[in-house]
Amino acid sequence: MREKVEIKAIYDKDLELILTNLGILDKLIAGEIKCAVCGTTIDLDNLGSIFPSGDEVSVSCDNEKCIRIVTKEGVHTSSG
Amino acid sequence: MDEVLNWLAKYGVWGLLPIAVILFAIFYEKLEKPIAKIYELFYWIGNSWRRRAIKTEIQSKINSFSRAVNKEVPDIMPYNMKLKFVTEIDRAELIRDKKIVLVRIHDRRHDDKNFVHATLAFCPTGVLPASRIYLDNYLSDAVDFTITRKFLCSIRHQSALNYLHKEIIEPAIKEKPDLDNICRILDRLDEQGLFTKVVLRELRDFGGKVGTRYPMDSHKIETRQFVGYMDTIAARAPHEEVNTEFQGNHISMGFVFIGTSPKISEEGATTYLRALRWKKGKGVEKAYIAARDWAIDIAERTAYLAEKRNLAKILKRTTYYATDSSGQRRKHIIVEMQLIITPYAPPEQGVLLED
Repeated sequence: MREKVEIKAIYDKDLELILTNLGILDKLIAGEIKCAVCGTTIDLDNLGSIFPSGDEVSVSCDNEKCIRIVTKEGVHTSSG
Repeated sequence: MDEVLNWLAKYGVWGLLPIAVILFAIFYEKLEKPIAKIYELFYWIGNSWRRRAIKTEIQSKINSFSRAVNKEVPDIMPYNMKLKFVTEIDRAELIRDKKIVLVRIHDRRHDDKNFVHATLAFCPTGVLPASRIYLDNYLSDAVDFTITRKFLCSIRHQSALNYLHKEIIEPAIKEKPDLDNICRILDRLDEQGLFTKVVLRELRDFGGKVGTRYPMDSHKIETRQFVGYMDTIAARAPHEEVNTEFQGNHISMGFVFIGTSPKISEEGATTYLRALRWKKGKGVEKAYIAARDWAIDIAERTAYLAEKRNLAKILKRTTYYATDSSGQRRKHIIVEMQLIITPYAPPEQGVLLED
């Protein structure tokens, strides 16, 4: 078996539940959350990724450039 | 045979279960595609099945492509991708795992985005993992775009290819014109069959040679210069004289092109053996003997004689169809030969890779 690179993902249907658990759904709906890379206002349609930034939860928009900047730092390998 | 029948009589169908589990574990990689089809059939049952169907479809296609590329050149795509859907995570858990990134995967109607986003998220770790830190951002992005394009072409996903070009590559090259140039070069090399067979192979070996050294600008400059050199090779007109060697601090390679028929009828393989000896004398570590159509036999003979005379060792011989600079689809051969075994070379150099 080859080693695996794990890409962690959120399925569309689970998005609202996860955002609620992370405590950012209300802010997101209110338009108070911006993309950590390009500064675009994030809503439920254009959210592309979620990641930790210090002690905060950050998000990026679904622009591939922003997702790539975030994932280049974030993906890691696991065996098995 | 009797023992097997006795076993079945004693334990019935349940006796086959452990065997099935073991076979499933062993052949899981090969079963990924049929499993994805099964999930797809039961897609309508509910969210859990829809999630699994999307996950296995993306995973199986990317992994199948990655295995095929890695079979062509070992260790350029050594990992499988595992797409893990996170269904429950709280704030403390997310913050604790500093490196976690949750990429959004859309419902099936957005599968263009899913394939492209998942592949591009996989590429920085999944393609050339040992050499990646020695490539500059432009080359790194261009490699990822070329691999993603190759993958989408291989699964014939035209709408995802359109999405990749319009939504990702075009905006990226508007911002970075140099990226456009490297993407074009890699595309041309890919069309001629040199992208994986030579460029990624040399970049893989570059990572092996540099080892764990601290990445410096000189590394990034050398890899970029190598891609530029490969472009002059790919863009050269028939019979045009170009420099056939690239000798950097870590990349040391050259080409021997099997030439015109008068030359061959006069001297046979001798001219090319002389060229190999000349390269070896200049300290070139690796040579690629390249030929097409009727010259393929001479290329094979040259490689055979070079090995027989202890001039070089054959590492790999590949025949393939590719488009030449005039747009014609022709049969090619490329024989990779190790001329000099260096102490800092990757361990597989000097032995037959495919052994």
